[in-house]
Amino acid sequence: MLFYCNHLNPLQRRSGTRFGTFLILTMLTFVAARTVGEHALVSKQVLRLIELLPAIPVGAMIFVVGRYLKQETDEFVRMLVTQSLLWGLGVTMIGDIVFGVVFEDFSSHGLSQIYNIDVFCITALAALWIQLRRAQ
Amino acid sequence: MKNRLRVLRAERGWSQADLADRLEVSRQSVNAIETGRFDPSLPLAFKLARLFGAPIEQIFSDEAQSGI
Repeated sequence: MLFYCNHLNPLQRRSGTRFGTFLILTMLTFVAARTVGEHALVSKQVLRLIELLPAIPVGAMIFVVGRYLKQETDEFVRMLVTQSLLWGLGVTMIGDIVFGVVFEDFSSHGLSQIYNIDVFCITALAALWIQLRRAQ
Repeated sequence: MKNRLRVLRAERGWSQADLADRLEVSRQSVNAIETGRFDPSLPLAFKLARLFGAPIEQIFSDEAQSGI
């Protein structure tokens, strides 16, 4: 979608902006939770609560995508977006398993969640871009 | 599924973008339908039929059936 900004309808533009905003919020909350955790600025209970914060923007991102798919009237574009999301999900899950085996302590450092979101978004956007290019 | 979309569109002198505007879909959708990479839903097929003033079966044909 980002690569076809001139052709975006208001729904796509609005959804893209909201998705991007929640993505940035997710990153910020992850970084904030890690920083607070590393410097032991708060008690363990409060830290657990702070570590749960990224779940809120992640949930909001899913909600934005869900609502976009529900409101998108162009069934072909809807199909492309759905396929791209599946690519993102597939690559993320497979990557997670592979990295989990190759780097045993990968997930124990709390890095996997933030990379999962990165990999998911990059793969889904790349898949969408490729599919839109092929549909030209 | 085969279709005569490209022919019907050309008869009217419409570009893919013109048809996409009339159908309220993206130009990529029209291209995908024309090239047979995407089969439209029934509501979109009816919309096409209304737009071209022809029954659906004159626009779309089942390849399996036409091959018999």
